[in-house]
Amino acid sequence: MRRNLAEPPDVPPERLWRSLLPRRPERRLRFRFDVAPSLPLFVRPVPSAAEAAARDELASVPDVLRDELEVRSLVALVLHTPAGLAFADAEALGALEAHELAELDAEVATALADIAPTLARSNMDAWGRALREGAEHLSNASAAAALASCVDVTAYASGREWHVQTRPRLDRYWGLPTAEILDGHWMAFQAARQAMKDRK
Amino acid sequence: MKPTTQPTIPPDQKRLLDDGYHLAAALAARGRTTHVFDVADFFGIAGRPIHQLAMQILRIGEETEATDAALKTRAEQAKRAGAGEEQARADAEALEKERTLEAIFRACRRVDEKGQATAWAAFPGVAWLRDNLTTDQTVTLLNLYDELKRRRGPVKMEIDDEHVEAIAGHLADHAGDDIPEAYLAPYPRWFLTHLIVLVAIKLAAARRSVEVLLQEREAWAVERTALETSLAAARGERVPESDQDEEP
Repeated sequence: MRRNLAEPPDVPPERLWRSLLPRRPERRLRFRFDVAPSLPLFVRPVPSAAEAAARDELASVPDVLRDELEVRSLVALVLHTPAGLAFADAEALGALEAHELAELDAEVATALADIAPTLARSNMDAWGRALREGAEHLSNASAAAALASCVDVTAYASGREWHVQTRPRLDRYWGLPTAEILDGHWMAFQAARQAMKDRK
Repeated sequence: MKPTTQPTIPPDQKRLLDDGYHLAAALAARGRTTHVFDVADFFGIAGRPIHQLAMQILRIGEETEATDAALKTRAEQAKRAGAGEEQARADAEALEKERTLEAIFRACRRVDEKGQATAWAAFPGVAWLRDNLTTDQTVTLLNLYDELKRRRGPVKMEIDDEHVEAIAGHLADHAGDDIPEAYLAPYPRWFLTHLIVLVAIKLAAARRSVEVLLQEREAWAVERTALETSLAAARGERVPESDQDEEP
């Protein structure tokens, strides 16, 4: 389902930048199922490639069904209980009533927009400005320096000139394979690099 | 002390429990939101009158099944349309009608002698509904379904600008046929009130815009004439009679 590009949430930039630092950012939902009113539900984002792959599986589904199945598929991917994933797959969400899915989708979408910016659903310019400001904040100085230092630097000569090439190594900061790195991690990293460059 | 009963979990849902998906299992095993309505003018198989009808709120999976079945039926019907197959396949209204029948078939349950809802479908099948249900009866059933959802609790229904534009455009496209009546039938009264108010606001805004545009056009025309007059005077040309201001 096509949504408007999400603006960064209305929180101070330094907090916004820090909110992207956990290995898997998490947002607790207010939504509760009537069968388990005390069971907390969380949204934990997945890499955007995983979201895209889930959408790809629905490519051959007729248009009238695709939007709803995409919603179910995304909710199944990111919705967790304290025990782990809440639903095995999109099909398991078929037991919900329409109003439940609508409420759940609205909360999940808001949570993802806030804690998991992606190129596909976020206003990158606005996020970029806010994150850069956040990375420059003194309270984030050491974290930003640590993150910005996660690069491999290679120096090489070409003719009579020396060149320096840097290669991002976000896996060092988050201890994750590069394929598991979230778009939000990349954005926090770029903001940190920019902040360090400006500080020099 | 009130006796407690252990909920029985069907075998297919037991699998979910074994997999650790307790929440999904509990959702699959929970009861349905059902209500028995008194109805008139409904007839079942062999013309037997139906006085009471149970309705249950469909689950997402059932709604998907209904849409899927409607798509299959439409594909079959389109094949029979011969040269008009593509057109028939793309007919959104026909698909919506078919989907409505599929949903009604899944939502309506038979009521037993004690006035309790049963698990049995109230009508023999979708094909039977297609052949026997009038448009008025379909609308009545949709309204009952809407009533059931209201009884269940408040349903958040958003109506935004994009939605209003889409509905208004659709109604305008079908102003000369019966589709608007069937299209608006499932919406509750408060939704229709908001819709009309929002359309009225849009109409008033459009009228104001047209008025402003007309006034601007008039002002521009006057300004243009004045400019042409002064330009002609600067060039020493004779201003055409029609463009000259009348002397008092």
